Amino acid sequence: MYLRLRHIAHFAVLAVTVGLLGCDSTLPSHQETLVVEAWIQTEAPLPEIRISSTRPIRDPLVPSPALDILDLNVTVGDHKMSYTRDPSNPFSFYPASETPTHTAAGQNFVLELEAPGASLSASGTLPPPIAARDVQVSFPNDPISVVLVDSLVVGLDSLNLSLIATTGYIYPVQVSISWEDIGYDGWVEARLQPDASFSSSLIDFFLLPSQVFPEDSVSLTENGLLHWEGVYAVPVPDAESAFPDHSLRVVLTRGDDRFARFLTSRDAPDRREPVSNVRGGLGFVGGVSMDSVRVSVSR
Amino acid sequence: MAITGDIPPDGPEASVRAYLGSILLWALLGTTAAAGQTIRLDFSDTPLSEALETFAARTGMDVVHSPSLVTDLVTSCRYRGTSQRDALICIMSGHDFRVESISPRQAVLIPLDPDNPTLSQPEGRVLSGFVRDAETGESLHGAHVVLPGVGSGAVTNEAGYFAFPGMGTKPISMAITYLGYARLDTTVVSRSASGSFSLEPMAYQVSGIVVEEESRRRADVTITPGLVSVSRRDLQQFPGTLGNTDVLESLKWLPGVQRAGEATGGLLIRGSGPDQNLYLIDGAPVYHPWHAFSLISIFQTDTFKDVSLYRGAFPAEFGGRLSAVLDAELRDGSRSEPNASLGISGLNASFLMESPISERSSFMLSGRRSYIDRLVGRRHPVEDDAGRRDTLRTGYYFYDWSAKYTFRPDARSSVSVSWYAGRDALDLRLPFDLSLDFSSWLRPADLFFEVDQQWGNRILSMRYQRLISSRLFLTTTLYYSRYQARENTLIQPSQSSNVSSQYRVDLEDTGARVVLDWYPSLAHQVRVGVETVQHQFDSGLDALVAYTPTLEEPVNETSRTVATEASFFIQDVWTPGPTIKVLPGLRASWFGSGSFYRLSPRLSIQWAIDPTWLIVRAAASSQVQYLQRIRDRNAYLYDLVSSRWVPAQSDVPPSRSRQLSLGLETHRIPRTILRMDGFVREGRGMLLPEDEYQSKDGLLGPGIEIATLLGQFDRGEERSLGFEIGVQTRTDHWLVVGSYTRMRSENRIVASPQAAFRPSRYDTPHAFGLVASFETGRWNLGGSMDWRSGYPVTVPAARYQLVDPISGEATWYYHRPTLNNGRLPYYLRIDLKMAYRFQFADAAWSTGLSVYNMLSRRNVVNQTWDPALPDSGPDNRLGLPILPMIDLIIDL
Repeated sequence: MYLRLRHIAHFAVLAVTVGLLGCDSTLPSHQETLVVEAWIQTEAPLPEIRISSTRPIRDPLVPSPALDILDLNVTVGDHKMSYTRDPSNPFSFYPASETPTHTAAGQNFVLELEAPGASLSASGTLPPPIAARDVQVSFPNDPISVVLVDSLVVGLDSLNLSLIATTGYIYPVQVSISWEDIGYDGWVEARLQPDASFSSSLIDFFLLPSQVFPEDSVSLTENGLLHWEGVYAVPVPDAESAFPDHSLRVVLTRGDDRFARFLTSRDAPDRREPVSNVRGGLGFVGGVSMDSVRVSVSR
Repeated sequence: MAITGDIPPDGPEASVRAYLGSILLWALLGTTAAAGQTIRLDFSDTPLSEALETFAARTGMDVVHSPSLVTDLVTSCRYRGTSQRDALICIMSGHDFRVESISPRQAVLIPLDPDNPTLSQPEGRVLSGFVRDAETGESLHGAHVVLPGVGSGAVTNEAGYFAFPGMGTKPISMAITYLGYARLDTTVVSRSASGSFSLEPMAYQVSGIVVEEESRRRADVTITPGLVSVSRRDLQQFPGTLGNTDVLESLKWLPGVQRAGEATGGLLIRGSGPDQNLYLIDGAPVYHPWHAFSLISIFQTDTFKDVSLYRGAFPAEFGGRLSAVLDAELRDGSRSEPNASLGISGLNASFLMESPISERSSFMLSGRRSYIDRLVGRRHPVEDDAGRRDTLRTGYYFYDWSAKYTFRPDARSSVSVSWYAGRDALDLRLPFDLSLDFSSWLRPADLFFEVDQQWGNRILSMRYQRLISSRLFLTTTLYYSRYQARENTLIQPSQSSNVSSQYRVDLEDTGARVVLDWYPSLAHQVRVGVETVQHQFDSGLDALVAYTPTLEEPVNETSRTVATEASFFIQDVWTPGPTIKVLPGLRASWFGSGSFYRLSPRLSIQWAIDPTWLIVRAAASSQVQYLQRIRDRNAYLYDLVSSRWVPAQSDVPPSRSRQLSLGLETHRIPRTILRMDGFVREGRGMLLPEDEYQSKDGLLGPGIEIATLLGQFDRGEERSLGFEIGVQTRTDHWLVVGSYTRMRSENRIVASPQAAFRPSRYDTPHAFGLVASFETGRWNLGGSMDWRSGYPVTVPAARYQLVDPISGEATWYYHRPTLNNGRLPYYLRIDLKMAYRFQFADAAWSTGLSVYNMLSRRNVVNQTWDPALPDSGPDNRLGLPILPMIDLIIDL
């Protein structure tokens, strides 16, 4: 027996109906949002504040300044400071008063911004100051060979199994830094910032140029100091290359949970945006304490 | 429910040998007519059938009886009063019948046996028996047994058993139907407690009319909307995966069912997550029912005799999951003659053999194994020009084997032991510079990686079934189920750094279930049961990350949890009338980890307004799930292929769901079943990622402790609303199955400040599937089409720049204010299959060619965006292109 024509017609009508109903959605429309970046440091003058705005994703890749800022001020403790735009830089805002306002550990701060159709705010508490004590650097005598992989994407569905890899040479540089333990219940970012950066998909897993960690999880040295070790890489052309002399800046930054959440969420821009603590906008307004040490690294 | 009738103290002659049964029942019947109306009867040599019709018309109480039983019988009776009972006794005076009430407004006329009064007692004859396959002797679960003269029907249980209590001893005509088998019409004359009825398997194209009738009967037995009971013969007609017949792949063609990935991923049923489905093999749970990275399932079609899928509302006898239950029974093994078959497909080779061992026992043994590792080779000794040697490895394989031994010590008992074991193993040791030039891999290398991953299930189920009496059937099941995964990794990306890790996951269930079927009357089939299971969760990680020879990060963690789950259920298939069936049920459960007590009521109703025109089904149910499957979202070194199941605990209560569903079914179109189902479902307490944007991006994560793992998730809510249409047409040569699903599923994190519902990860507003198979002579030609909306994707709304305060570097980010605000392009795939059967060397051969994605349409399966690229559109990840596969099956 064969299917009747009527049944086939029923299927056809159903298929057409489904096709008509099955439209997929389009790109969401753009609504401009203000982006605020402010790093208020303990025991330091109030900082420059950077304010920009979002752009449609099809627009050219240039930052967009916030055109109309009606009011911007920062209150630290009991002192309120108004900000004004830098005439030479449309993104930059400075304290309106030339009298510097110094901050202290434990002070609360509030940033408030008013713009047409937007009201932004952010708040926090300034952490205790941090001071780097000792920096030690070590590296091997000869460069080592490493695998340089462009992509680690492997997908069964798409049969995307090819990994394009080459071999290169690096000097891994191990750095340790210590600082005083004050019993702070917060987070620290330790960062190694050499002159030239190096990155490769696979090797990045085995480098530790920065790390954000709870301060109470760090081990103590024999001297009672907190201690962290990291690794960065200096690329060289071949196996015979000498160690390139360079400069290294080691930075310690202390902050609270929101500071840690922002830092740990900003490393994958292709996948996500950083977690913001700005109500009504984007960006980050944090209270931090910071210290850095610059060292020359040479054989 | 009860037998009733008595010798009335003031009644006519004591010729009505009816017996006092349930006073309650008579109370329900009412000793008085409705609203105290007076019943007036005056018969003089009136045909009994006519008198009963008059009685029904005047009292509103229908007396169901077989016309053949009352032919040529007349009655003379005069009655005036308000008692229905007395009026009926008056009518039946002088006849050897008793009356059994099956509802307040319905009773059944049952003939008495004058030669054996004991059989006429309330505990008298129960018409019962086992329904089996005539060729293999296997019991048939779900066969429909009908007594046309009585107007009653029943469905066989897992042992193929049915029972009609309260039957007289006169011959009773009976019809037994089961899809794929010839209808059996018989007359039961034996007084024995139970008999055995064998159905002959039947080719579909034998007779369209019979097929049509059977499919209708088959459909009629499902009280619960959303239940699909599929026989092996049906499953074999559906297209599989890459030349394999596969139960779960076949079920994908049903409305409301889809696979999560293009060719991989778990089953999504009515908007649920893959971990909300319960998979059972002979009563034992399976925690990871997939092979080959979820490409094919462990449910190989040929090894199962029956598969039932409960979509959404399942009866009280099932519990522990929120969405669906797949209840599969392994074949018992032929009781008549040995059978064997061999098969080879593009993925694996398989065998199946079954045979009787003695008159009372039989076995089934099947197995399969992939063979690509045999073609490519698993170990490759290599040597370079400098004489340096190494052994590279390129192994991947999976295997499984199932066995079942069935022993029947007597006609009332059966003992079976079922075993399943399956494993996947990936074993690689390769240099890093992989390319399409295979020969370049095979050389010693300083920088390499090793992956040794294994995962699989083992199941042991022992079942004892005993017909205690014709009204009581006992099923006891002891089971052990183990899921085990190992992920061992060694990566040497440079001369000074490496990582080695060993990760393991073990989950063991040891359980016992006792189920008692009780057939108290024609109107009720009660099933009551208890179950207890101990869950044991073990996992461990031993890893060492060496950044440099002096900077290492060791990790050594273990996690172990034991939880006991106990449950009790009771349900009743209540038949208040010939067109209505009601399935109320209640499941009570207790979970030791956290001491949770939960009640889950269930109710299903089927109303066959007309068996041909319209069958209506409705259900309301509540489910509880104490285990949830989650994966670490940070680390590459663990939970790559493993499934971690975590138990409910004090700070993570069990998840719950409720569902309402309504289904319509019609057989009005010849040889066609048309079903329409609507449902609404809501769930609470399921775990959703606390940070949806987080994905694995480091070697190590926060750790493997359950509390740590749970820290990556928040409690969520979900809801789904859907409408399904399913069409199945079968003719002598054609099988056509079509489905359309219109559904929305959404979820949200309860604790989120912006707790608006958003489309869930696999929300699919429209899905359309079509399968057609044409069989003629030696050829079988088939095709399938899978069309659905694209899955949700989070599309950026804007772009902005942030500047690092330390380095001064600027980084572009996309602003993604809402999750799953966009959708991938629609998905479309067409597969074809052709098979040719022939005889050669005393064996039946079948060879086939399957073409996956005939149009080679590269469906978009994922999209990513790079904010650093100017005017960047999405980067599309594409699905599989066209893939031809050949398979061969030999039936010896």
